Amino acid sequence: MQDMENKNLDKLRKAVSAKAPTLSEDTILSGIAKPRPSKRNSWLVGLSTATVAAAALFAVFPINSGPLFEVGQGQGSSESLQASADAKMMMWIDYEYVAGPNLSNDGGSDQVYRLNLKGSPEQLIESLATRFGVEGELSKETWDEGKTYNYFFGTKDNYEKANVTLYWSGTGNWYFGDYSKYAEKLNLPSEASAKDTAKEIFVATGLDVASDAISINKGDWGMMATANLQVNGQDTAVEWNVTWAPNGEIVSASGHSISVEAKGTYGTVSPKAAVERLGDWRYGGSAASSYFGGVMATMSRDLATSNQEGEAGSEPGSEPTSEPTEEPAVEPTEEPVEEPVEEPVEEPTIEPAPEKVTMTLLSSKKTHLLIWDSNGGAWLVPGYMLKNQDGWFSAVMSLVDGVIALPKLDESVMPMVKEG
Amino acid sequence: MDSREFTEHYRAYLPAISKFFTYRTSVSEVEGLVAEVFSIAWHRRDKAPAGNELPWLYRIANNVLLNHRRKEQRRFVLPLLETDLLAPSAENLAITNVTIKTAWTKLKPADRLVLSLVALEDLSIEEVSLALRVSKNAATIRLHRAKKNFSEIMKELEG
Repeated sequence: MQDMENKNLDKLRKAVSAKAPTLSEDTILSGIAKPRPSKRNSWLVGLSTATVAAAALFAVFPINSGPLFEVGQGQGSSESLQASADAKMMMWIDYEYVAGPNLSNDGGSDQVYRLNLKGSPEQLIESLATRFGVEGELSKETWDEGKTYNYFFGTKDNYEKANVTLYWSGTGNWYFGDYSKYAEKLNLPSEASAKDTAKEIFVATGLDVASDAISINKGDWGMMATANLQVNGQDTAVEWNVTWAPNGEIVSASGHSISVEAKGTYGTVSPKAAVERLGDWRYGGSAASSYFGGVMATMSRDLATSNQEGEAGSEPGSEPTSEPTEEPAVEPTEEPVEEPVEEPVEEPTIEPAPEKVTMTLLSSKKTHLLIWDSNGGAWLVPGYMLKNQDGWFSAVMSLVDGVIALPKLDESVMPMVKEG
Repeated sequence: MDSREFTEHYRAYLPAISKFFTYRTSVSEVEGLVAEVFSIAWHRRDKAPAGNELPWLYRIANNVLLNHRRKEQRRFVLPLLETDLLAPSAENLAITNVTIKTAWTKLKPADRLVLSLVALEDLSIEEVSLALRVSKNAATIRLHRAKKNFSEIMKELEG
């Protein structure tokens, strides 16, 4: 059996064709030349509540005082563009977006919210550790020159024990995990009981939520309760959740430490005008996962259409669903008797042309999208969920141009190609 | 240790760290991330474990990659386990064999992570335990489990 396992590892080694670029000592020298990290001086102290009431009566702000904030490169960075272009390369489909007859021509106005980090990271992680019964000690690290800090509470050098981590930037995303309690013997709580437990955790960690706003998913993997920060009665991409192992033990939970600050009401373009933005990745944003079947929120229409095509999802952690269509013809044997050979890579002889697909957007729904500014701050901005002819949604910002500064388009960015 | 000595001592590890990022990011990002690793290593050189510099660099590389991924994926609000962020994908590895590629995508990220460190980056169990900050025993169990899972998937795919 072990022979077989080792042979399979050899097969893996031989099948990997990615080659690392040859870097010179200059790379080390450029690292040495980087300045020592400097610490950030202070943090914003948030407002008192984590839920937001409807805010339709604000005066619409003029935009002649300059952009409200600058959208971060991470929002629509060259990486995103590359990933998007790569996805298109893989799918080899060129989408044309067309507004359906029922989309409105009416613009309007809506509120912009800033999500501020709330409280002290040290106090937060210690209170979470107490809540989940995590033993150990607190430590923190920075790996990006002091711009952000990761906090850890648990047993150092034994990361398989229960621990809490906190990423103190953006939404103050925290995560508790304890898979030592995992067992497959089925003993899940009832949905009502799970909701009660989840609600108690969510409320205690800053999300004021009603039981009926908590959704439950379950399967042979266990059970998960999810609730979202809501704006104007609608879910946003900011989620809290609790996961139970099949044996009914809580093995993970996560949430955020934020307060919500209304920054004013700004003009919005019509749904029909927003369709024209679908070809521009800079207008993307994260919507509530419920729009995508409860899976992780995707930010761009490219990924949404990728899913729709049944392609492997680009979200981290997602498992590709497509099965290989061209299985190499190999006679099954008890034990492989020959060393496997590398699969030949076919050289394309004809320049392929992209398949053109017209995507008609049939309906729209107002929502707020989560986006990131250039300092790592999180914002909720008005947007639309545009539903296409195949029943999938695309998220697009609806703020009129000029309210926020978008990253510059870099036309020179090309799809990623692995180099030998 | 001055910068010249540091460079001379650490340049032997350049290909390994470069390969680490090649298996996990796009080629265009590799050089910047490698430079980031050596920047941190330089500023913390007094804490480098003598004789175990490579797993120490892998540990730094893990954290640099985690932060890089978190910045990329702040739009994804659901937190991801570190293994999801660190395990190389079939696309990053550019696997040419369809069966192996399929098997790789079917593996759990935790299995992919430990298999990649051992099979592709030739780390010993002790080095894996240092790089992942787990006990040697835990690393052994993880590797055993990953090899078994990979073989079972391969067996299933190969009929």
